[in-house]
Amino acid sequence: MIAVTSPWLWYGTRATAVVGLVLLTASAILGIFTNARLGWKLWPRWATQELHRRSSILALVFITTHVATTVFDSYVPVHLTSAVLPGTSPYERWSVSLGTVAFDLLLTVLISSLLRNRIKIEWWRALHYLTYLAAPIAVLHVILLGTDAKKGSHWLLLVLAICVASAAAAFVLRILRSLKLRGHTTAPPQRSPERLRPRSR
Amino acid sequence: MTTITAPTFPRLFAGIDVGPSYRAHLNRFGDRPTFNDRKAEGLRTLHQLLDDAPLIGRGGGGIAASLKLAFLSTSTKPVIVVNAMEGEPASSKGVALAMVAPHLVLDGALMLAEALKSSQIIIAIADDDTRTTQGFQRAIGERRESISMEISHPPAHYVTGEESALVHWLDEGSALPTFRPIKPSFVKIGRRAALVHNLETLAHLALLARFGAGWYRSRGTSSSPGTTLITVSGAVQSPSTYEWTFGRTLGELIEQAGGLVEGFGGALIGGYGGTWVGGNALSLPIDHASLRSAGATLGPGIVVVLPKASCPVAEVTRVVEWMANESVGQCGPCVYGLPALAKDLRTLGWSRSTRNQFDRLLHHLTEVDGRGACRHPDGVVRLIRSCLSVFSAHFDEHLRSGPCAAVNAPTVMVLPKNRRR
Amino acid sequence: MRLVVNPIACDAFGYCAELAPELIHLDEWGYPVIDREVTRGLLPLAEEIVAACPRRALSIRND
Repeated sequence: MIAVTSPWLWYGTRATAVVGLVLLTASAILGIFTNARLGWKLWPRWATQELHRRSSILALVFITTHVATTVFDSYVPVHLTSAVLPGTSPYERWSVSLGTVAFDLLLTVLISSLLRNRIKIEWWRALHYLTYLAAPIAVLHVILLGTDAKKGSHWLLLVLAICVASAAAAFVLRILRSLKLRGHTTAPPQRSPERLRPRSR
Repeated sequence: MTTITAPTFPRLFAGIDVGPSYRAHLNRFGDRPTFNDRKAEGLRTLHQLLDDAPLIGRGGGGIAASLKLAFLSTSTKPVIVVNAMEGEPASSKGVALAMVAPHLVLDGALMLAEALKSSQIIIAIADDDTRTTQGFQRAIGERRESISMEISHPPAHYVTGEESALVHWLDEGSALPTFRPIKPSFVKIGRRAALVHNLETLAHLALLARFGAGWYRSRGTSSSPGTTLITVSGAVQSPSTYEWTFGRTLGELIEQAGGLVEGFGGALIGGYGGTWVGGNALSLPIDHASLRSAGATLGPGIVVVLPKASCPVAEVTRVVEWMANESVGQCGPCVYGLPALAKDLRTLGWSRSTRNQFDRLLHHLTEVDGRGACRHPDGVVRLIRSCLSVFSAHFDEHLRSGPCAAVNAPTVMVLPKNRRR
Repeated sequence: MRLVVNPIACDAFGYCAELAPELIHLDEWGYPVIDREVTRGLLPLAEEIVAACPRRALSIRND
């Protein structure tokens, strides 16, 4: 590994992290809106899903860049293995590991979505729920390692707070809506298919 | 030892006077022929017999039994599934066979299993059907067979007898129909193929194998040879399951069932997803070809007779409401469409309705038709359409002058409580 | 070629009809009704809506 360090790499790491955070939040909210079938008269419903798909890919591009510049920058001793394997970074072992775990989870979700038409839809759905695991881990990673936050420049914490609050709001909205709809657009079906599962076999 | 003679009539019910024991069965019909030679010769002989008869499945789909065999031939050792689900409320042939001739059913299943080198037979009986269960339990207990015969109890429900739902239940414990865009399709339990036959089909096979295709064809019509079980209910003196020779008329069938109670107002043929025939149908011969030309099918062998004074709008409404509640809730067009149809019909039947409301019903029929994973919604559409065409005068009367006098008369339909869990 | 809806998987999201009104309309409950066969010219559109379905309930069949 060649030793490269430049303040530009460091700026890059920080900038892509912030943009990635915002895009991930947007993608999560759009994903929730897709599932809850939120839409407006002048806004076609498929567009929500399309934006969700595209923003998530874009978010992952930024996060990958964030990881790459971190690894590439020899100022902090974070190596390629630490990009995928948690617990292997000598620098800020725990908080870097949180980032690694979140990155792995999100990568799994992205890959399973790219393979969506080839795997069982139940698998895709189950893997997609990993997002809910990745989100708090990523938030913790930002709080612990966001250098700006540490130094007391509170703008990053503000961005983070806005992101968390809006995603949480969307999540609550989605839960309320699903309680109302039970999976269908117009009215709840008369009876659920679960009913026909036998009591015992 | 009595000499074995081929029964003339009845066939399946030939042993009705001697009881359902295995001994009586052997005395009356003799041992079953075997098709279990080492090469596939036995299977070929059996296949030929099914083709020569030809034996048409009695489950309601009207599928030739040999077709199912031909479809299977590439796979080996399927699980033989005896479909005794009897989801149709107006049918009681399952109980009848279990009480009178369970060994014919077992013989048919065993011969198929032997010819296909299968080692397992599953008899599927609805979990609330204790009489059919008892009949088959007793019969299995009397047998010493190397092939395993077990009874399975899917939940009692209109659609659980549908082939894909039944196999789904046996395979994964979920009694819901599955989506099969290509039919006939290959159904599997675990890794093994499943061969599903209605229990009556197998009972016919037991006799066909013993007495030959010539004997089989000696009754019935050329396109619908043999006899079939028909459960007659509604406005007849003696509602019951009767063995019936194909080609004889609906009027004769009603005579057989003790005659009419209050005149003839039409009949529902083929079950609750079946077709109506009108007041002029007494001379209609009951065989596949004649029924087809009347736009009907026999289904699994069901006739419900309407009394002359009844209101067909009211009767069809009640059946559609019942069928809507029997939807298992998997497909949108069925979940929303059937209640919508029931509501349209109720409006037509019980209130003064407009041409617009009638057109709405017609629109809903086209919206629902063919759009479920199974044929449950299609059956309801057929039921309503045939009612509209056969009783169009009565519908017109409702449109013109509101509910008729008979709308609230007691129904002749068997409408069990919709089961909820 | 024709489009086939798996009615069990379909949950009435309705994207298909929004994206391809020339192939599909929705019934009054929001479930898709296939209006016509997929011609060669319409194939890319059909493939797009197959990919867009959130429940993966659409497929194209050759028959």
